[in-house]
Amino acid sequence: MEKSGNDAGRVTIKQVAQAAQVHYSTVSKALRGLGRIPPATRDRILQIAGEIGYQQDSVMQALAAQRSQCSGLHRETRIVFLSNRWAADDPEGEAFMLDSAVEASAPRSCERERVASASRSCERERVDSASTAESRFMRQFADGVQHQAELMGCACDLLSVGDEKFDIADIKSRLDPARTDGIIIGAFDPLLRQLELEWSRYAVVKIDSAFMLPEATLVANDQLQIAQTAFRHACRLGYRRIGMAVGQAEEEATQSRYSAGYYVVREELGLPEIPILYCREHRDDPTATARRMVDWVREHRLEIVLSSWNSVREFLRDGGLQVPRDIACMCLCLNVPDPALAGVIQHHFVVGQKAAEALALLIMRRKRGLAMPSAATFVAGTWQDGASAPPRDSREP
Amino acid sequence: MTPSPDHRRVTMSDVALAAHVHKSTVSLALRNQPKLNAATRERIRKIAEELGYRPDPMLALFNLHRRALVPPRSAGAIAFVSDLPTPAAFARSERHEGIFAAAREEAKRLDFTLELFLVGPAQLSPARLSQVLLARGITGILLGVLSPATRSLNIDWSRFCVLGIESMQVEPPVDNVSTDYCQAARLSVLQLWRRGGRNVGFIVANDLGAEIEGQLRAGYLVESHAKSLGRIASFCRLNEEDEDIGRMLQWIDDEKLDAVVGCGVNIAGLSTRLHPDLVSRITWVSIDTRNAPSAGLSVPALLGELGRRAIELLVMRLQINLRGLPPNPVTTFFPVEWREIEK
Repeated sequence: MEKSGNDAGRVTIKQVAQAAQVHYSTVSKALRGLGRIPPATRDRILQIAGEIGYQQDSVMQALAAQRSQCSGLHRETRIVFLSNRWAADDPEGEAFMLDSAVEASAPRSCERERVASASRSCERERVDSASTAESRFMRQFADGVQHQAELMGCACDLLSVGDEKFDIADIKSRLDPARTDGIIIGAFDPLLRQLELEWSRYAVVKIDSAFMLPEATLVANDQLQIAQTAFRHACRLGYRRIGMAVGQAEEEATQSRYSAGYYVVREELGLPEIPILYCREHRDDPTATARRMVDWVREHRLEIVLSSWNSVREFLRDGGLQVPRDIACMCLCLNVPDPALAGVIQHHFVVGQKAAEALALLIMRRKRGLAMPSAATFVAGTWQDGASAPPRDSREP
Repeated sequence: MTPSPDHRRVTMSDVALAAHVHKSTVSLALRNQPKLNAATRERIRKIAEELGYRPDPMLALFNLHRRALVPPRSAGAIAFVSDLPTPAAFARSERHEGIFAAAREEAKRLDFTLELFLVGPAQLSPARLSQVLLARGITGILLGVLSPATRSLNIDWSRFCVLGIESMQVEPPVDNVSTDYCQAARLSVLQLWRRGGRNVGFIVANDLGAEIEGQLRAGYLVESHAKSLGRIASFCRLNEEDEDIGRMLQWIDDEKLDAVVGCGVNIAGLSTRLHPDLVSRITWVSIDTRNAPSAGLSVPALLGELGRRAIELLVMRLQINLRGLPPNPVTTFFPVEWREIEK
């Protein structure tokens, strides 16, 4: 576009409006032949436009035409990653706490008050660090979503909501439906069963939260493959009495995919059937959980425990068992490689990426609202050796 | 962005100057074009970021519009790779042909063409296929349901964007789209339970891989634990071509089955060859519509849906120039719905 000179002399729609003594929107309608304008007025405007030399700007026309019929992904596609459960030390979590004035400390503080009194301080510390480790995955999900969004050329906003002080009006006030094409629902806390927004306005993808309404396209870690991988490695390392301990809520959230993985390999390898330990309250009452776990280990004479808790070693230790001398263990949801802890690394960053990709596909197909039945994408985990599960032959008899 | 005298908008030329490359190279790097080696791409992208380069969305739109003036030209071809022995065998296979036809339609909608390539002893070798595709500038590959025996293809994947359709057995693994066999098995067990079925067995066609059987087993086991059914999954493999009736009868008898779920097997055809007493004593379910039963319980597979979704995902990845094998393979499962067909 040439800028100088020409611009000053170019006749605009506003000049036509002035000459015709109508509003410029009327000129626009007349020129495009739209709207309800008396034919006489239209003719008069067209004539004046011709007389004073109005010409449509072909570049602007091109842009307008393109913008009105743009299909698929373009620069203005905007997605929102909606989540609670940020790690207590994550800036995103803090930001929320500041702007919605939740009382100091972590959002879960009142649950934590229920922690038993005896060794209170030390337990609180551990609960905090465990829940921080568990919540750090949210940052990885968010990073993956943002990375992929950038690759695909769409904008991505993070929107964090409270945990207990979850407020639907607050979310609504911060979501701008006119500018938002799709929403990714991050792994919400199992305490929250339902999220009500005007779903028909958005394309929707959920991460790791199959338990929660609404039903939507799901992207998650592949718990089925992860449990299978851990079980096979336990067997390879020489273990035979293999038990699995997982959170009840997590299993409900994943439609028992950890259990499915456990059953299928146990049967394939013909190993003893040991009931899976489901725990409901491991965050609230670690002492009771540790006791239950150790009772279960002793009752079934277990050699190794596969668990979906990062703190599985601490539970066993608190129950009076030494890892790996008395019992070996593996973690099914490692965030990062840990030479001390064997298990399967879950790739939360990749889950975030695939969620953004799945959402972009829905947006491209102009799929708004909730799809039933919906597809599920699972990201495989990666095996990681560690000191908590040494080869069985090498252990002291 | 507010333009100010000392903060002129950063252009590709600025990036080119700083990176000591031509501005067309910058353009390639920013579009993640694999023609450029990865290190150069990364270096230029980093410099662009440091300088604060932002693509101008208005210009991008304008370019899109300009390109739309050119008569629509195919964006390119995508290869649909199958290991069936002959084109005739491919056309005969409802599973393959069903997926292919839907995928071709979807490709057309997105301005791509879909071409069938057969690999195997009497057909192209994977190495030759790879040469042909590179020579023709085809970078998108769909592995169209490879048979369980094909466990790897000697192809330099770093040059291609590849997606599998129910080809989970391939090593190293690629991303896949698949019918949700685990959910199909759970649904079947649940529905049979409601009808009084307690001893459920599965007949699986030989052309379905071990990974698919694993998904079926997982679905069966987790649902049967929930319902306290017989805990051992009972599976029988069957060859579609010469269905071994005798062996199957023995299995049904040995396992005292009262319900049979067939996966990829012609249940309707099978039951016509069995004694009517046996047919009526047992509840039959068919997973897959390759041989849609005229009556009965079925969980139709989503052949067309798989083909369409696969193309859509592949095209999206081609558009952002994704190449090579995924460091963390993923599978997207499409759930099936329960259907009852009255006689």
